[in-house]
Amino acid sequence: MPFEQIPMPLPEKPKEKSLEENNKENIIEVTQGVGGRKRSSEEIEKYKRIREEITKEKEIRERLERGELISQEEAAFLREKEMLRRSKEEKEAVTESEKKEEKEAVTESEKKEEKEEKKEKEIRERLERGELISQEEAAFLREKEMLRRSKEEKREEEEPKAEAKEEEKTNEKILAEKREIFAKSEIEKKEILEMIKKAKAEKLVNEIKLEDWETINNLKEKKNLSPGEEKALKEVIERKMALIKYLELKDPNSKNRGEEVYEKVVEHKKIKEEYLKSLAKYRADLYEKTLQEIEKLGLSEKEADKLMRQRMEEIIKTTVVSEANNLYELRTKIKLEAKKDASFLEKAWKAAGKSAEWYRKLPLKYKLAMSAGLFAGGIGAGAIGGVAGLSLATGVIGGRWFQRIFGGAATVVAVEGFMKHFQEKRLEKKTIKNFADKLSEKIKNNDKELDKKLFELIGKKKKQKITRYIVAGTAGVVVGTGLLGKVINWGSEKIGIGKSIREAVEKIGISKPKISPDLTKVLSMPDYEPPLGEEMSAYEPSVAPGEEMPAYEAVKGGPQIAQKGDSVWKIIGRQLEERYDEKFARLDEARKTYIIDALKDKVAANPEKFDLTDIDKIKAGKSYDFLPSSKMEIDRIFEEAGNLKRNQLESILENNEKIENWLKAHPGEKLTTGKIDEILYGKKLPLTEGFIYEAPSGEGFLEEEVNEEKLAREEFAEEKLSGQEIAEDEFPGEEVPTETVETMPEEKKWSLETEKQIEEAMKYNEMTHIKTIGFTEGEYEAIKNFKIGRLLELIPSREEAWNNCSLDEFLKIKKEIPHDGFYGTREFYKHIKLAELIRSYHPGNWVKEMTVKEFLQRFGPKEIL
Amino acid sequence: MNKKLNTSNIITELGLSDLPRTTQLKLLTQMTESVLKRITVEVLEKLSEEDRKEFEKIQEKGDTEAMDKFLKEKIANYEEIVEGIVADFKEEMKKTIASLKSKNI
Repeated sequence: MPFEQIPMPLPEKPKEKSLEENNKENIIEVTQGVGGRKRSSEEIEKYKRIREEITKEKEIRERLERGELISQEEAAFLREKEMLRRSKEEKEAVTESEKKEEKEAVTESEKKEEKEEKKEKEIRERLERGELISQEEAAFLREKEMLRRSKEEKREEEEPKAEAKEEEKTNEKILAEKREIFAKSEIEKKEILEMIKKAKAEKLVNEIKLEDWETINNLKEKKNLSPGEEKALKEVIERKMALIKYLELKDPNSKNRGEEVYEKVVEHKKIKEEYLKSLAKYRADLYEKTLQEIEKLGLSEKEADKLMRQRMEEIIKTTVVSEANNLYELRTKIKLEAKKDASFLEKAWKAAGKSAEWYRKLPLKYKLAMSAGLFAGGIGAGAIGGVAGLSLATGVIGGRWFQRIFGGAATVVAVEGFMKHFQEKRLEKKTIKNFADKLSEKIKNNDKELDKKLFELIGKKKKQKITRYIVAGTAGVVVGTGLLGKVINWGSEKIGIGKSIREAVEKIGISKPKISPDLTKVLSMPDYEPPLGEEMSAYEPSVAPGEEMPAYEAVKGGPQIAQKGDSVWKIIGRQLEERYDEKFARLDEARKTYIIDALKDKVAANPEKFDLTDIDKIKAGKSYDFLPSSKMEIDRIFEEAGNLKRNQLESILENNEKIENWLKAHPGEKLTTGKIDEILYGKKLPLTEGFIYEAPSGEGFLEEEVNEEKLAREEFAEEKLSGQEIAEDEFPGEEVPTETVETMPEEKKWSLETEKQIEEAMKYNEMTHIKTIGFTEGEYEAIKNFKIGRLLELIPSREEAWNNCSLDEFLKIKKEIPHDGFYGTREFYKHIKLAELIRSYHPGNWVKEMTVKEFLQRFGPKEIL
Repeated sequence: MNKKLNTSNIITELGLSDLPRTTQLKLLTQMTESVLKRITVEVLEKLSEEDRKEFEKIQEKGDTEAMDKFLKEKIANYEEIVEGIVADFKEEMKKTIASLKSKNI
């Protein structure tokens, strides 16, 4: 048994609580939105108002239905609500019509493009056959060629912008902030910093610790210091005085300014450290992004490691030079701010920006030509003027000037780099084409019943698009063949880096429901059956009051008769295609995969509800309907898919690729959900059915401009569903059905807490962590008995670990840390993730003697301790 | 001002020659933009309010030759100033890189 159980003591049964105590615990303040975002008091008020109105409207309509009379005021209220609803519908209809027009315009443009491509192809074929072409046709070819080049150049310029990944934004933004603080501090403290350098006092400054200033402030006024505090204060003061006295000795200007100098030095030291730390974090992001890209190349462990190290060297150099350049630019701005009046500052900085923009917008060849010093002329006046265009060709902008900066480097870099770049692009295109062809073959060979839809889809597209479609979305294979099982739930595992598993799990939408602590314990028991299906329909209105069920739902995407070879996956895919048509068809393959898998998980969580005993066993000829009755629920999943981040999408595609590779190696073998678990995680997951997809989306949901009423309704329904009571003072007016707030009976709760269940929970935790980190069985076997204390000593914080990786420190780690064969950056990265994960639980020193395995079993989504 | 610096290769000087060409290009572009900004700011600072307005007019016409002529006329040692900025840029870059690599303040 690779993941054997270790004996664990049973948790103590808590004392029985009075009804009053239980009720008190069950009242939870609703101060968070669906995505967990803290609500402002204004937002709470707003939602409260909306809910009151919903309740009021419902009551009035019920009274009307019962034939009761309503007041004039109530009638006016209903009219107002009706008008608002119609106005909203009209707006939506307008938007839909705009969308339709836009779509038609795109189709027209595509048709035109296709026609022109055909024409071009014909002319070129004739040219190749040695036939003559007309002047008009020659002009047409020239125009097409120019357009192509222009597009290529534009893309080249835009590429760096597109490279800024969403997940890097935070650290990149933090870095920009810290950089600015640092640059300002440097200028403000210029005199002091120069004083330090002139006196060669760096060594004494380095000895000062960042916490020294705080220690002095905290302890200098304190009476009755402990011996430890006394010692600490003495050392801090000694360090401080050593610097002050030394400076006084070396620089008379520092006399009587000891305190000021010391304070500024410590402050700047702290600022610099924070800045460098943020740079290290940003760099760690780049390392991880690079490692993920290298992973896709399918290189051997050693080759991948070699390439990674090379890339890391490049990243170090690039980030340092970029940072130095960014600081230079910031200094220009800060100095400008300090010197002149606001009006000049604005004008000058605008002009400076114009100069840079002008340069940036130059077509690549002009940029390169200029850099290479091919034009003779003035000394940059054109640049300052911000004039773009062909006037460059007159040589107004001096190659001479550029030569002065770059001293000939530009010539080499420009010309060779330019050529190489385009050669690479061509090669890349060729490779993609070959790969796509092979992939098509694989699809055919591996599954004879490949979904016709996939080929229909391909058939409709242009040749280039087919290639891109297949290559970019190997998920197409999955959608077409119904191969993918538990991909998505753990496809987003990368977001768990440096965060607790719980956070990671919540982000991908399978968090535990928001409930009272007691109920959490019960729900976390492995055999607890969550009331997902029936309860959902009981509490969540599938259509909001006053809103009519769209007619198409009744006829489109309804129950499907299963065909031979069908799967839950395929049937859901068909239902979605029918029901949502373009809305679904337009999505990229990763998003399609996400949606189908989320819906498939709902089936897996409660197969009996869908007339199944095993989700891998579909009876041909039988009718199945796997879509939830709630439109809102499906809409939410679509919304979540829309909010997926790039790394999540990449993960989905990566997993698809793993499955595809397995299929290639096992032609004709049946692919079940359990098999997919094995392919992706090395083992069949013991608690696969326990992963409950929970509809609420991540942070993105509330950030977007959504209909507030809809949101309030959704939350209202969701809170009921999760069994969470709404605090009376928050939403007076709402009545929550008794059964939703009751916790499970004590008797039942404790009957579930058997040793076996704890064992299952521990396995669940362990497997969850293994999957999140991405350990292979061998890697986990190697590390599982290593002590936590030593692991955390060897692997410092994520940024430190990465930034030390290229140094001797890495060799030291490699020597000591148990690993699976060759120890490269790939496995090192997993150890970084492991250490970050452990730290994210903020464990005390008592865990130091635990092994990795013991820790991973005890901490996790299922509470053991 | 160190004129010798201006004839040397910044890519080699900053130890970037082993980077991929595309990365070198990106860095060259970034550095050029920053230098252009500094030159613009410093040149404008040297003009009187009246000359700045005049310069703006020429700038709007997009006549680069006229701009070049104007700046050379109005700013004594214009070329040397620009060259000085470029030289200072190189020095500053080297110092900052050294500082970023060290723990010193």
